[in-house]
Amino acid sequence: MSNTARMIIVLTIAAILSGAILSVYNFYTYPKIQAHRQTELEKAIFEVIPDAEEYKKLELGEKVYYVGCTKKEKELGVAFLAEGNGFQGKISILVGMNMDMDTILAIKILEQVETPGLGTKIVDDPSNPEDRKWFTNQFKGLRALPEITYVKNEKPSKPGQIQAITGATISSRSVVEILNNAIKENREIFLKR
Amino acid sequence: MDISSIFYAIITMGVLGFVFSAGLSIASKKLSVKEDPRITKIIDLLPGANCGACGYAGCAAMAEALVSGKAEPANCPVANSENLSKIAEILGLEVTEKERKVAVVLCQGDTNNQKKKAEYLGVQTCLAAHLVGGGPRACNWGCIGYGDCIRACPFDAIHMSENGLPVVDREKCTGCGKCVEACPRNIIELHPISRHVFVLCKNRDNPKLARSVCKTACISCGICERATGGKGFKVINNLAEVDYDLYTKEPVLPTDKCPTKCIVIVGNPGET
Amino acid sequence: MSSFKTSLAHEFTKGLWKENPVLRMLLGLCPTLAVTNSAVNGLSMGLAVIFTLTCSSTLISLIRNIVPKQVRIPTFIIVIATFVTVADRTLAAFFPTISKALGPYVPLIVVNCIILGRQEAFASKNPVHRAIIDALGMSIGFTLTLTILGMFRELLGAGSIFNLPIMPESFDTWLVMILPPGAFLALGLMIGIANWINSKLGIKS
Repeated sequence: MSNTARMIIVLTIAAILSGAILSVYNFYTYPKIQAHRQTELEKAIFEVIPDAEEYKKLELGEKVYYVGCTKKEKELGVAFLAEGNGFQGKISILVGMNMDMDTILAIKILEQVETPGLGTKIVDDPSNPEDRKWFTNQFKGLRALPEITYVKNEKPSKPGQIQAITGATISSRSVVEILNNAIKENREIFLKR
Repeated sequence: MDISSIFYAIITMGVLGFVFSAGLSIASKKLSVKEDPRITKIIDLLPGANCGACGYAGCAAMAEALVSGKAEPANCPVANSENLSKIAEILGLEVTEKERKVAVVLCQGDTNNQKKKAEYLGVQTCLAAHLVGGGPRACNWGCIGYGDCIRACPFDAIHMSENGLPVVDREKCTGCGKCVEACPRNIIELHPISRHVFVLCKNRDNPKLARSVCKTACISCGICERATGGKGFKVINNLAEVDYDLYTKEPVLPTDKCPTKCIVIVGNPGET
Repeated sequence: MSSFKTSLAHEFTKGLWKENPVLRMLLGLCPTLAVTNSAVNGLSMGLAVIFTLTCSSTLISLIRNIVPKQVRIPTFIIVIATFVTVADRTLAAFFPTISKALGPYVPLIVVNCIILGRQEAFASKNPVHRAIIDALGMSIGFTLTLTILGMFRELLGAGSIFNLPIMPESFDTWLVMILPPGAFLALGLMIGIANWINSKLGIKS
């Protein structure tokens, strides 16, 4: 057969086979990957709502909220996902707030692909061995209203203020913006439930 | 995640594959370079060692030269005769069989035979040692022993002996000449494989000096010249030399009487 | 077809030292630098590469006579990318911690020059048994190098090897070793040592 026909047939068949194999394999692995995500999410919920022993899932329209409570059904806080763009890709944060949604209890960064060694300091900063998670720890008990702000190269002086990471300002700023946007949006929906 | 996603994947990939391969086929027609198909066939028949013995920059360049008539198949010393005749056939030429050449190391000055003159602490290559002061061994004409020739060989056909003298494997040697080029003292030469008698020395100093630096140096005593009646062996400039046109008594030594045993039979008669 | 054939054993061992892809051919340095911050990560990346390279080389060697040379590169990339995606999804589904640790570097195996390089230079021109042996040699050489590099960096930068504490409590870890500058330092040192060993053995660099 002519060379042209052979070229087209070989490449098209290779592409089709690849697509078929991968989509079938994905079919098989996707549920497992989703299960992992779910387990991680649950673990994170108990991290961002301290002292919670159980949680209830609440769906309001398209938004999902996880209300953490004690075994005695006392509501301690609510957790929700905040997502947005960081410096290099999507950042996904689980935010835990009090039931009035004016103070952050804690945050946990679930997914990020920031620059290793610089932007990744938002989850783990080895250059501060005593407190490698100092960046996210800043958000514990942080006042979220009217908005969270950040400063560079100095300690925070006002409530609702955190210190950005030197050399990773954009990643730090992205986290703050993602949180502010998500809190503003979710406050309206959740408090009107 | 449902079955339809598998269909989407297959269709998307199939379309992409088709579009790109169609694009490539158009491109390959529009941008094609006319190449003589014989060149590819010849490249396959050449050894692929890219040693440069033919004088061209590798087997691909040699193939082009062959097709354009600038080179002849026999210029490749490495290819076996079967492939050479196939190449000749493709080019419509007659095959001329040339005798195989192999490398011969014309020195016996290993660490046992040569005196040591110095502790050499410089760069451990023959070339560097030769340029600076001649390396650790006493003879200024002889083998330095740091193995530039060993490293140059693409065919693993030359190895260092225990006492620091290179030894050629006459079966593996293809006569490409890389070791000849590598030796800064031109101690290695290519000779037809049917030659077996060699003067394994290059020292042209006066006899007293030669003898004082190496046990197996040629001291130009002339015994070999007298034993062959001047035909075959001649002493020129303090070194015995073989005239291979005249000396046809191979592989027999001209005499047992060489005082330093620098005339040696190398290889086995009947080798090819 | 070259008329001097090297033995199968040589095809395997050359990837381990004489033609080690990282230390001698200086290929695939990007993942090497990135994932050797711990021994486990280095080893995992190596295993992923062993899987990808061996499978790709096998398949490409099998189809080498069917593929027209103009579509050679896209076809090879499709084969490689398919295996890499399988490896990536497998890690995400069955070894999620390792998948997170290696991050974006598993998909980047597609453009790791070692893989495409071996297909172009070897697998597409040699029968299957030779292609498999070559792939194994190269990828195992890669894995050993990465594991050793990871062990070295982890030992100095975190005081442990494979997460087992080795250094005494009093050891002040050299943090830089698990950060990018340490990667360059460690790799440079390793290449230097390899060159020194080779100069002693008389193999040209």
